[in-house]
Amino acid sequence: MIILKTQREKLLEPLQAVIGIVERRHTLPILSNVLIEAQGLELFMTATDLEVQIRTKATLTEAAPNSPALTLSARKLHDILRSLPNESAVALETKDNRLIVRAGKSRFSLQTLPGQDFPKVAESTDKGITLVIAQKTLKALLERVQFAMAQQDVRYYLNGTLLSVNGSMLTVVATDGHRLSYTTEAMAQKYEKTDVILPRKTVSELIKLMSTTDEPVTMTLRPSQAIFSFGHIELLSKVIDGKFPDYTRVIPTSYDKHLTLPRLDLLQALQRAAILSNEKIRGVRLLLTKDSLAIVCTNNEQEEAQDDLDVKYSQDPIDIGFNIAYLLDVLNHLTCETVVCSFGDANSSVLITAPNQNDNFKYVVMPMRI
Amino acid sequence: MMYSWQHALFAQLAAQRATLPHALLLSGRRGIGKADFARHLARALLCEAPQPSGDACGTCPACGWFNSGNHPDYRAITLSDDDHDEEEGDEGPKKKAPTQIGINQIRALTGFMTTSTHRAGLRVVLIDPADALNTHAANALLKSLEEPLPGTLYLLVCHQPRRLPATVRSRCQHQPMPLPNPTEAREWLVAQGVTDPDLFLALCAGAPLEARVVAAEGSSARTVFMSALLRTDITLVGLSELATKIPMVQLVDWLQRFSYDLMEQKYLGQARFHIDLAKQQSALAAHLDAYDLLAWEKQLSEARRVVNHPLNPRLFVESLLAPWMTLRAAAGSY
Repeated sequence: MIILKTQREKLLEPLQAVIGIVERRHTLPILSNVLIEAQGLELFMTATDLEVQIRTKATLTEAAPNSPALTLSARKLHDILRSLPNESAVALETKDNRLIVRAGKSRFSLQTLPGQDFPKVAESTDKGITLVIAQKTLKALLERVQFAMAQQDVRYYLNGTLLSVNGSMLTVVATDGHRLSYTTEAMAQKYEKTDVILPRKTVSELIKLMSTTDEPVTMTLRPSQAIFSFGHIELLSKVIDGKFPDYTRVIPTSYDKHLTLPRLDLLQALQRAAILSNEKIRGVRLLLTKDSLAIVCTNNEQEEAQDDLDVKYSQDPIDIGFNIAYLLDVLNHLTCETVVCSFGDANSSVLITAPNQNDNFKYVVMPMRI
Repeated sequence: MMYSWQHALFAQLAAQRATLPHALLLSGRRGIGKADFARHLARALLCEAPQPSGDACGTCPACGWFNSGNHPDYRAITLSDDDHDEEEGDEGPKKKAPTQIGINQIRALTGFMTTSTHRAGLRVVLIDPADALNTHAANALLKSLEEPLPGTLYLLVCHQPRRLPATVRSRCQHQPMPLPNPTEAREWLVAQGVTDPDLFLALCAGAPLEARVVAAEGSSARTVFMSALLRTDITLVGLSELATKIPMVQLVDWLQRFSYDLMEQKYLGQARFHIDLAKQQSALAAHLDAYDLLAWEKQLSEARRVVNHPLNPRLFVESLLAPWMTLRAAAGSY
């Protein structure tokens, strides 16, 4: 029985959007499959890894007359479609629990599982808030903080990114306990206070799938679920069930020693020094004296790198140590020309901000004793 | 699947549906259907349209997924050699059957335990057998076993709760599983097509599921070995030859029960386990030396502890059988 006939691209595009979350090794066999449903002219594909569920919609050129929902190996279908020549006509047929893919003179017979076996996420009925924001804005917000997320920390609530809506302010925060990145965006409307922690995977998928255009993304944030719809994609994510630490107490407000310097100069100096930093500890010493910043790294073999930068600085000298990876991370992810580093004393954190951006970006790194 | 002797317990737990503890430790003899009960309970609790009795409906999507092993809010952890896969990797000679639950299996639960549930219901983790958790795995489990998120249920199934670390035991509500009474068990075995239910029930000390397995395997190996054991003209070497063909755990089990039977025959005049040998045993028992018999029994229960890793199987078997040969010889030709 023929389910549908269409062009290769019509099938491949939505499949590529969902394939990212299909993992190779899984506890549940059906998770390596993609769910295919067709209704009239619309074709839906759904994949899930139990944390994120992505559903895409494609429009067919020819209506699909009879279309039972079925699932089949996402990776195999993807590989088949990708290897077919461009713009070839593809027909899907079902026959005795198998799916036959025909294109030109090629014919593939694939195993299927019934569609009702696919564990779709139950849409939560909790009250939530719905926001609309430009895709590029949300993408930029997430990109600026995501690198600070913890990885497989026992404090499970750190293994994600906090989206917090308070009044008309959308705040995005990620931390791993050693550094914290924070950014905000003003919304046109006021909303009820809502906090959700998005799992790591959701954040990386969102960044991958969203485009850098002004097209809107609709976010629905609920206590146990977050839904993002944009373009033909609907991404439904579970949230981490925990309380994010109070980040406002971590961000210093009373620092008086400020140092403004070009981002690229600092980045390059740090990269040079990093060559000789201790591979385990990754320590770097910053020596700030009048109009000079010395960056010093030493390693176990008693080798030393020192890089001096001419800066404008006239306050008290300071000698402070950091993990160099945390500094490189933030400088690599920013796009602005200059950055401002604010210091308290040698035992307190450094606050890095981007003065010419209106997103209120803040990055805090805890010092370390070297 | 649930057995007739478990209905009362199920009704009791189903009635507590809203107020179930976060962790239940189901314990009881081997072969009485604990794991089947735990799965049945998990399925009933995950069902999205439970029947008035608390049982699963069998038709909702959740039941369908559960039956096909795909329920997203359910994890079953059981014996596996996953922990070694990455280290060894090669396709060497067939590995031994896994005997432990490793830490990686418990760690893999973290994501599952900390994100919100898939179907807005309970999330259920079944650990069977919980006494196979190794020390590291048990310790890794503690944190989330102590304070799981709301809507979490751990089901731990084990034969001997005493073998679990006290830290794990104290975090669970202990629920002993019922043993069927002999009539019930016999009826069930007959319904399963077992021809001699009394003998097999006796051999398995009243555990019907184990009795069914033993009955399916047939008891010819046991009959051969046991009659050899009772003969006077057999040598230690001959007997050990026979014994090494039997799985070690099984052998120690039979011998332990055999020695217990002899003791009971000697003082009470009845047999509990090997009831088909009752006659020979009772004739012999009267002539056995009670102290030596007790000493042998003690040696067997100590052997039981190391039965999974004897240094030299042949020597191990002979050391178990030698005291019996002396006992037997001292009793004369009865």
